[in-house]
Amino acid sequence: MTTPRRTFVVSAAPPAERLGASLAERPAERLADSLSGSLTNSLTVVGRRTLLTQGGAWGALAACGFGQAAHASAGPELAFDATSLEAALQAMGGHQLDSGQIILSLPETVDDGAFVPVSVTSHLPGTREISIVVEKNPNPLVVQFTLPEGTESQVSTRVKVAESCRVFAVVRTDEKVWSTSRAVQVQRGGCG
Amino acid sequence: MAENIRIRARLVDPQETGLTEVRVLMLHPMETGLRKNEAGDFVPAHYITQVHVRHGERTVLQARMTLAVSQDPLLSFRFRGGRAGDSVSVHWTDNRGRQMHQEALVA
Repeated sequence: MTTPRRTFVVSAAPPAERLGASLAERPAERLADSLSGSLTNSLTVVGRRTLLTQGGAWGALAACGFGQAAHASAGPELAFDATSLEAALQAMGGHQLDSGQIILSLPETVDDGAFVPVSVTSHLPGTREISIVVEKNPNPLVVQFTLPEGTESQVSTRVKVAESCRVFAVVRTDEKVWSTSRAVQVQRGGCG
Repeated sequence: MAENIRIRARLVDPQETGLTEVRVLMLHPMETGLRKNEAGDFVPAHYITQVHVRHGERTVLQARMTLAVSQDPLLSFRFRGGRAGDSVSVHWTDNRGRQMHQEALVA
């Protein structure tokens, strides 16, 4: 491995976000959530992802019995903040079932849900974006890759899977959004 | 901190026009906020939110991540147009505003 040593920390300053501010924004966030099906770019809510950056987002909110509040500024934010598979897919522009052009590879069974290798290859022409969505995670949309011209439409990574469920690969092309899914059995959940 | 980002970039087939395979390992706790420490307190969420991979000045991959990407995120992908000795750089930002940058050469 070539390892030029040019690592540096550009900024160590944490964002000046206050828990109080996030809490105050929640009603608006819920509104945004309820509108998720018909979201247009005209809908802007100031909350953004501040809540997600607060410590203990998953744990604290899950313990309180409700998912992370969704808050929106645009489509991608809404998709990341969605707390159900349907809401996430809808926020990503709805989806067509795949015609076999997306290859989603992951193990059928894993011991440890904290490290689930996932690989997605899209043979759909004009693939611009590949997302990995885990059905039963508190926020199903896990990661979204943007692929510029010249980058092969194939990515691999590792994700956390909270419990046995379906994993979706969602591919955005120049024209449409497509998806395919596979089930994964998880012996020990990966959210802790 | 020197090894916080490990990058391996190599030509898939040096004889052919440059298809470059990139593997990136970013050492980061990717804390969900759900895990408890030995004292029983929740460890605050701490995770990478944005990753940019560039070939020279050109972006070849951009990723938006959440806390559900596994600890020490690993990425691999391929781009066209790389040549031996070209620079491939990785830049990440996390939810605390920290940023990290690392560069490697295509082998």
